[in-house]
Amino acid sequence: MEILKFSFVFDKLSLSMAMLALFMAISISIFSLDYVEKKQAKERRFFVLSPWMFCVFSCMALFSGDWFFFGVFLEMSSIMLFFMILPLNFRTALYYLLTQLSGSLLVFVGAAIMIAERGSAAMGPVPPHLLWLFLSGLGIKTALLGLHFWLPKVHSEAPTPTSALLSGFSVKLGIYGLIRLASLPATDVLMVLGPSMALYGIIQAISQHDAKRLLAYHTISQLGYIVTAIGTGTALGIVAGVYHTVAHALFKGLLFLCIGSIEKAYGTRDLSLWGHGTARAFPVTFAFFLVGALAISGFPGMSGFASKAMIKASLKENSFYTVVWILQAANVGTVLSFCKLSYYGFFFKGDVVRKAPHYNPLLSYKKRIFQNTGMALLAFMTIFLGICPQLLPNFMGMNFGNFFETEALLSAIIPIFTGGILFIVFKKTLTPGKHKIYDLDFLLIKLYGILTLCPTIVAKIHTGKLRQYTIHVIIAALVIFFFLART
Amino acid sequence: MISLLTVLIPLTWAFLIPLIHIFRKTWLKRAILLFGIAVFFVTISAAISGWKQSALSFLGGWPAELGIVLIVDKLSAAFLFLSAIGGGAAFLASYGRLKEGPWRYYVIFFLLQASMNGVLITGDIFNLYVFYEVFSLAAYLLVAFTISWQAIEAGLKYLVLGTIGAFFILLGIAYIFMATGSLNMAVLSLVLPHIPNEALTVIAASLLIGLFIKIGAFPVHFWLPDAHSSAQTAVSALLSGVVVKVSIYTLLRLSLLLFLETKPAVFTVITVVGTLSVLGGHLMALRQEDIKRLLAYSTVAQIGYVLIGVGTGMAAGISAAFFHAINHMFMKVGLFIAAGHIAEDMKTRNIYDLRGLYHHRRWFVIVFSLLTAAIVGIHPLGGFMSKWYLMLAATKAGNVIPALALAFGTVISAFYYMRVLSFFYSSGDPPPRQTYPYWNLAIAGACALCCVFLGIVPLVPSLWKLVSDIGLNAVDTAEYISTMLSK
Amino acid sequence: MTIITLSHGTAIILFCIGLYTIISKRNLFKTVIGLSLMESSVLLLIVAAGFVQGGRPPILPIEGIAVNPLPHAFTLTAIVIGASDLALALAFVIKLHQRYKTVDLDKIRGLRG
Repeated sequence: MEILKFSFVFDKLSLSMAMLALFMAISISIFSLDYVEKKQAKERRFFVLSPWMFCVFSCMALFSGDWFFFGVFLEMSSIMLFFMILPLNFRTALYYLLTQLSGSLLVFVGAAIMIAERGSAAMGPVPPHLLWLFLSGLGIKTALLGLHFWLPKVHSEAPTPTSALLSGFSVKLGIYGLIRLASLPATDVLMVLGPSMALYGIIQAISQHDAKRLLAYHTISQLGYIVTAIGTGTALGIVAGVYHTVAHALFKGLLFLCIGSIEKAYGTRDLSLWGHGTARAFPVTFAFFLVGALAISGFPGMSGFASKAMIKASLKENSFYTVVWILQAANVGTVLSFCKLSYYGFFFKGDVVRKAPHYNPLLSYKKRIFQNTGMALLAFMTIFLGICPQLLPNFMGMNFGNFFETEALLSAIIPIFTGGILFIVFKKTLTPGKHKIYDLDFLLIKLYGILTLCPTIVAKIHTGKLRQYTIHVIIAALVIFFFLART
Repeated sequence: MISLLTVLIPLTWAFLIPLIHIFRKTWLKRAILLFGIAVFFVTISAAISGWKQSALSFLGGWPAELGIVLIVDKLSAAFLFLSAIGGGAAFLASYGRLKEGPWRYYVIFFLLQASMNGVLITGDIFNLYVFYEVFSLAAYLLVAFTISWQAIEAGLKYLVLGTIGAFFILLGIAYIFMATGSLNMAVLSLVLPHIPNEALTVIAASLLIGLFIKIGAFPVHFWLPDAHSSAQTAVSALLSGVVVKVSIYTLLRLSLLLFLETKPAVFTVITVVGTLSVLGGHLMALRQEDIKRLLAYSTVAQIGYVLIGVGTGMAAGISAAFFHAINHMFMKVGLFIAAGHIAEDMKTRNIYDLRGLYHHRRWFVIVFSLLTAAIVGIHPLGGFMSKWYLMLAATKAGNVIPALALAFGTVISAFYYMRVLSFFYSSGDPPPRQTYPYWNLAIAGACALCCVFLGIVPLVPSLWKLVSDIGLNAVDTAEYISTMLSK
Repeated sequence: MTIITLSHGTAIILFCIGLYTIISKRNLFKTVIGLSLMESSVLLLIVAAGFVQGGRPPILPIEGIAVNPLPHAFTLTAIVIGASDLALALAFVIKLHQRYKTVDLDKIRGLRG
């Protein structure tokens, strides 16, 4: 039996991802300095230090040269995040841990089979018959369509720094794995899954009234863009995917931090209780939110514009024109739902004054220097990447022509206008209400009832009656005998 | 010669203790401690001498074909080592709690150790049966030692099912004797290929079912949760940690020597039963509210893991199985001692009544959590490593479904162990006054440290070579035969 | 029908009767009897394995052919083990009767689930 040997891979992909991880850890740990009150020194220390631990494990995962160590560090980073959800909500934390464990265990099984067949499980494309293991394992991490059931619940119920890390970097580890997988049979699957994720996430996001849950569905939708880009399988597509990964990490982290700090002031995530001059009470936070919202909508001059332009270019290069239209439609939806979030979250003045139960204006921006610094770092990076869009493709060794072409600018601005107009038309319909929104996790609760039947059935044979136990012995003996006799 | 001493010395102690009790009562306290230490060192030294070079001793000077041969090869040495450590830990735990009080307990205890060592070193199949029955008898007695109604009921169920198993084993041995006229395992390994296939089927079926009952594999495991949860703390630890492993050694030895070439279907049966044990044990543990019963069902599942390793019938699988066995020994001894102490201290075994334990028994809960992390398979700890090698071996042998069951079982076990820990860490009422648990805490803590250490083993080539040698040596039946028949 | 086949058949039938007793009778004493029957059947099998046509008891000095003495030694050992098993079983039955006031197996099911 071979001993465990750690092999490294330092290429531009893992280096750029690692830099992203480092940056996320810096800004989120700065943010966390203000997230927990100074009085709770222990918890505060934990929230400041754990992003660094997470960063260490993720970097190890990014630098590991085979699937086994990738799985190990993937699991350890998930466990770190599990501890970060734990102080707020045990059930959500457990839910997260179990889903992520099953994901990384599927990767382990895949790696084991790969080692058994080939002698090594180096990071890279896997044989087609193992694809289902790797795709479903990484898919749980990346929230591929159908395996995304955990994401909205966990993202919305986790503490704010954890949500930002989850959406900002944790899911990106799965994306990194998918990028390494990218080869022919895998890319076909991803090409189908990507656009459908983008659309599904948007459709769910528009109907949400829980601010963080809305953002979580946007994460699914933006992951759809990335998966689509990887699905092209070309070098341009992969660079575009990485670019959008970085961009999305930055602006989605920023958005989660903004929404989270407002949530903390209101004591609720329910959009229908927000509004009434929030923008005036939190002008700095609102400004950061605006940066994030513009970036996610792909406004020219923001990082989202550049990465989306690259994704579209890579799709056109391989003449996936339908997919481009689907992504454009998704982009309209994104704009629509962010109009909703900013309008109802920051400006809305309803007929009835509905105050949130625990509204605490003392938590305003002024005393929160660290909090604002953390967000400012992310916002700065988002704008910086948007102004110098060539930076990352050049680092990855790809020279992408001109970002600010008329066609690209038009294709970015048209969805924004369409979304804005649609929002004005459908403003009434989009008012956050109390309606129930169905997703797979509702189905899962039903399924849970069925799953609990399994132990009940197994428990039925433990009657405590010795005579029945003896009957089991005889049956087992006969089965073994006939099985052996047959062979 | 030293191999004979591993049986003779504990046996002598078992007979000396009553004499000391009658004639020199004041000596008893020191004598028992001395005896325990002596047994530990004799067993360890026998293991070391057998590891360097297969140690044989011919009882009465008869050659292998006629007399009884005691043989310590690497597989035996490894299990001797396991039995010495586990037995020593259980001895210390019981000595710390009981002192010299019930001298009868130590008589049975030393009897158990003597016969376990006998099973591990004997080379004669009927001799193996005799030792096996002595050790089962001692185990029945230890389970029922407290004479509470649970203990007696569990003891009776264990006895009836165990005796049925023993008669199946005896039936198999009788058929072997009828078919070959020989009882030496090396000779049998040579002559069994020449007997009719039907006879071999009957022999294999009766040996397998008997051993499965004794091991406590899933469809016939019913005595195990009763016995392991009703016995006193140290006995539970001994049963789960060592006694079960000795049965697994027997299965390993017999299946490798007798059926590896003649009837490979035996290994399929072992794999299937192992998979069933993993699923059944974990599913049943999910429902338990009694902490010791939960641990007992977890033992059923862990046995399943080991059986999956044995079922590969390859060197890698057997090494992984032994590695998991020794890991499980440390984890379960530690867990049972910690849980048993908690249960006695708090006067309850129901996990709902153990709320808030962390705030009152901090170190116990920390040690318990570490052991739990090890048994679930969190990365740097021993449990993870052994599970990974089991998975690797299973997939190498082409058993993908067991590997998936292993992964699925890990997720379930994370669920129920986290449930226990969530009760420990939640807030609750202060318990009755603490009895100071240094002794138990030290043993459980040492076990936890060993788990941490075992996680490093696969990374160190010289240590890992020791583990992989076990599998290579076990599969190399030709060497075993030639050593045995050398005289 | 030689004596060997007869004893083999008897052994198997006895083994099955023993198992049947355990699964069909609720009285604990009958369970113990079932165990004892199973034991006897296996011992019969072992003794029969050493049978030699026209053999004499293997006691020195041997005149002519003797039966194989090895199974006899095994049987003696196995009898001792079986006896201690049964003794322990009966002890448990008595203790259980003191606690439960019954020897009905189906009522002794405090540990389950």
